[in-house]
Amino acid sequence: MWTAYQRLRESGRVLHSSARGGFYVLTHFDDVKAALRDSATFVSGKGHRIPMVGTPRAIPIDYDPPIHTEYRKIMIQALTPARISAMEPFLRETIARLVAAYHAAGGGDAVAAVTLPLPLAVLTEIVGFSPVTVSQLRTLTAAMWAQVKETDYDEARRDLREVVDGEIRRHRSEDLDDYITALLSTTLESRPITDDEAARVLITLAIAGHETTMNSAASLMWLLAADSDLQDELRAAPERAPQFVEEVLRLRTPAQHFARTTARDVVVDDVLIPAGSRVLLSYAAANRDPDAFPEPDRFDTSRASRAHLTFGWGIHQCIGATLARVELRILLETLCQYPRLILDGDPTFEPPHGGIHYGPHAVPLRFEA
Amino acid sequence: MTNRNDDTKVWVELDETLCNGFGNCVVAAAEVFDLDPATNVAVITQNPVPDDLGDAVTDAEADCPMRAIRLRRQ
Repeated sequence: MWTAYQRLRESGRVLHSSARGGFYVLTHFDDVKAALRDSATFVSGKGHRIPMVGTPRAIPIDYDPPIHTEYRKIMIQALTPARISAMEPFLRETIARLVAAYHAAGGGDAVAAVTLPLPLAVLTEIVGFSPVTVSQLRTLTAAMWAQVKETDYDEARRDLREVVDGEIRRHRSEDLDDYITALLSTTLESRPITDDEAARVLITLAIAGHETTMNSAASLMWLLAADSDLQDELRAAPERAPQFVEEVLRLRTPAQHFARTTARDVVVDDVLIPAGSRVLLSYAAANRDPDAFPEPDRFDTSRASRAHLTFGWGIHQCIGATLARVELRILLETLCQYPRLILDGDPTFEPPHGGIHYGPHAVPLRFEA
Repeated sequence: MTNRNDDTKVWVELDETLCNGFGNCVVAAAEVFDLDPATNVAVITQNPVPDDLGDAVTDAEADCPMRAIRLRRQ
């Protein structure tokens, strides 16, 4: 996978494929970042996927300002720095409980035991989904990814929508005080939010709130167990956990790319990309661009790797970035309190979920005796 | 050459109530911005900005997804 990105990067700054209705690909760090910064030229309203089947309706990634700005504002309420700081004791407690149980069991698949349960527990706290709801999210999301390339937004998300609609009904009938309650009475600039919009906000939080964290946390535990020098380096200086987190995010880019559409003719590296073209922005390739990150395949905690494009950049940048960074840091700090992790077999991989999301499917680990 | 007054300094203003802790300002100008690990909110570490960091803080202003950074020249 990563060598394929290297070949792509080396074959040109602007690539064109005639597959899937024709699209361009940007693979170099500077070009991808410039496109993300220029959200008036590289627009989102024609969809974030290639190909886009049906009408793009994912909130907020399939929208442009001004409505995008309003959607984002209400979603960010779930993820303010103050809320995340206040959640830190909950995160510590949840991670301590998961890792203690994992250790007591002698290890096993880190995804099933730790990296999936963690973001699901966080979704109950931060959004207000019930434990029953989150217990269904992984299966329903995997089923959604399996259909998303052939069906439109609503068709692929029909089962997720049913669960989310159930949450909306539950929050209307019970006296609850959480993000969903606040969301349902939110007013956009000029009108109250509709139930359809609230449901699509919740579907995004349900999917993006666990898929990417699960993959990043799994990559983190795998890389740590696979590289004893790296693990020693961390255990000698656990306060440097944030730098480890950034390198994992850069090297194992969980959301590998998103698409935009050009609103006008634009020239990149002397190549004319005509107005109306679909353009794939390869975060995964950009994050290993040697011009931005020398010796890009090397895990190097001394580099300024916070500059990576794993969360995108600009007006569509991942609103869960701070939460993800805090969760992964606490996970590393917690693991340092236990015996060293050792690989107990090779991790297994599946093709990227929905063509976008990539991480180990299962990571068999055990603890050193 | 411009006739710009050499005493003109760039000052950074940060609206902490808008900041969402993305840290793009730290990427653009690590000499001027940092993130407070306790609050996840950006902090300004030197103000006014040293003359050679004018471009860096201009990037920081443009790169903030929350529009929480404003530059003032005086």
